[in-house]
Amino acid sequence: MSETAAPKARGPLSLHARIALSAFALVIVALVGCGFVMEHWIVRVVSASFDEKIDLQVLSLAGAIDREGRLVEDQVAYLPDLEFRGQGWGWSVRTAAGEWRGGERFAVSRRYPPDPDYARDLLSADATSEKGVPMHVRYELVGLPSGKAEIMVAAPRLVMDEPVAKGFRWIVGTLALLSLGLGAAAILQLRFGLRPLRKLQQAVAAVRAGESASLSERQPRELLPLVAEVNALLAQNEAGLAYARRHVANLAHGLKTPLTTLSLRLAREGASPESRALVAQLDRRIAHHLRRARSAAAGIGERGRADLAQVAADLAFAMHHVHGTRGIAYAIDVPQPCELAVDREDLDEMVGNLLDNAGKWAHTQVRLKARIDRQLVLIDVCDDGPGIAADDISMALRPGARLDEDEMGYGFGLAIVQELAQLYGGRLALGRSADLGGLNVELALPRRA
Amino acid sequence: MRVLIAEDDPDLASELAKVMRAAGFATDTAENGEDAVHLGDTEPYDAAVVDVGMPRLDGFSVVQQWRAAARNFPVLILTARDTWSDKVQGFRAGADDYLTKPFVSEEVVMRVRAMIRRASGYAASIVQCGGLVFDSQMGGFEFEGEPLRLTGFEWRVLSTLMLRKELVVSRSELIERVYEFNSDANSNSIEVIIGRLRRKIGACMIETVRGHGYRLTCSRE
Repeated sequence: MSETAAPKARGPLSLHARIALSAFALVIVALVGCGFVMEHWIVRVVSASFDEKIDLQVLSLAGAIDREGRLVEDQVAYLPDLEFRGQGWGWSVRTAAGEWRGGERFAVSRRYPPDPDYARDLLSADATSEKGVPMHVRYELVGLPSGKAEIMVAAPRLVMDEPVAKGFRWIVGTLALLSLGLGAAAILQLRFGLRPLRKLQQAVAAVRAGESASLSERQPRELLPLVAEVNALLAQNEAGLAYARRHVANLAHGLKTPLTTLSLRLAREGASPESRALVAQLDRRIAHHLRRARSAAAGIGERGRADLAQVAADLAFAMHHVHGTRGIAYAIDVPQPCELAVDREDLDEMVGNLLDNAGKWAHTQVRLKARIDRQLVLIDVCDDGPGIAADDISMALRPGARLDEDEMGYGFGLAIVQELAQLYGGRLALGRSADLGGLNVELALPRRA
Repeated sequence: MRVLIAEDDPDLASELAKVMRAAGFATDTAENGEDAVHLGDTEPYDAAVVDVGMPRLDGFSVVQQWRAAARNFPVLILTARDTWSDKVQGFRAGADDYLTKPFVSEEVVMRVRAMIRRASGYAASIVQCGGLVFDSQMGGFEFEGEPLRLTGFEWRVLSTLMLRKELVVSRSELIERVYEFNSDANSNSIEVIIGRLRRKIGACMIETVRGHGYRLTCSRE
């Protein structure tokens, strides 16, 4: 089955975008709705007061119609066109006795049904003046002994529209300010509300980097189940790793114990050198596969963290037992802190092999000196032994190659160190020690910042 | 000289015991950590060979308990895992040396001899007392330039006296270091062994200190 690179799919919207968009949409809908409602009420309030003003004119005209249906103009204190002179008002009174007009002439284009909110019997209509100006009309139908009378007063719509427009402009301005305020509040809310999530992300990163073992339980209630699940997963992972390591240890014990018995028995029974060589071969294979299994179980590079100073001190203590009886002195010089992004057991293995190899070949002393070089820690291990000839250096790093036939020497140990170092993106270099004259091994490993 | 082998695998324990006995050591075995702790606490061993992976109590804990109880005989740890982490853990627990399985019989014997020699305060492997020379690494004795042929019991008594030359070793201690845990120790047999040794290296080399024990002395012929 071949794997094809799928185009990178767009992931779901971020939480920030979701909350910001929904808050924005909600604010817009609320403010637009609010705008409509307020406009409606402004129109209503303004037109009610406008109507009241016109109605007064209609009523005063109606009061000036006598029994015969004639308009007695003298009884009207101010005719609408005169009271609002120059403002384009107009009026008309039509009875069986005749028709009277004043001011702007207009033609009714649409009549509205009675408004139940108004107790008065006055009605509204739209009209257009002769000049084409839209007019608002209030009129009353009055029953007279001589027949019906229709009294109309018209005012330009502009008179009513202007305060409405002015009010509306205020509303829009206020709502715009309000929406800006709400937007700012939403951003603050987002930053404050999502802060635990950002902190959680940092905490997960810290766990991955090996800075902490699990996530803190001090979390908002909503995040607790997630944190509990992640911690359970971490614990499971840890337990799985421990199980795998224990399994490798048990496997080593289970395989090597009978192998030892076999080796001792073959020797006691005087078995041939070939039979004994087979045991040695079996042991090398088992050791190789156990190392592989352990490296696989270690999850290399994921959460490794080890303090070189501590590791070097522990190993120097061990070397004192291993080579101290031959009078080999170990000098350790490691800056503190010196944390490496390497699993502790692997670092033990690398530095342990280097110190042990050096101890085997040294006459009197072995030195370990570490220095920090940007993202790497350079560990130099040198001895005052014979060193390796330049031609033999590449051979020393070949797995299984041994420059010494009698003793587990440079070759075997160095190849293991090189294999492990490369798994961590590090490297191993051999040379001659300028200080001590023997072999100098430089091991470069990634530093943990 | 007497050693304890703490190993849970009966086959390996039996093979190791044969190897150690063939090398002249009185050898006891313990098949779990708890028994090992008990034997180490109650019997006078010259050295112990302890496997790490034992039931009930692992080898590291066994050594720790001995050290906490001031039992300071040297300990050789046997590990199946050849990792430095394990070795460091072993040395930190108080072990004196380690050996990774599998190993050959000569190696375990040499390591145990070397540990006992160092624990007795001898840096060099050759220990001399007058005309008597003991190669503590190879285990052989020479007397006046000739190899000395000794029985197992004779070797145990003489090596114990040799590593503590000029010091008085009590008869009861000699008995404890010569006989294994389950054997029927006959207290008179020590006199018999001493008598045989005196015939081989000269009566004056092994003094009887009345009421105390025996002393190997190098100053007189």
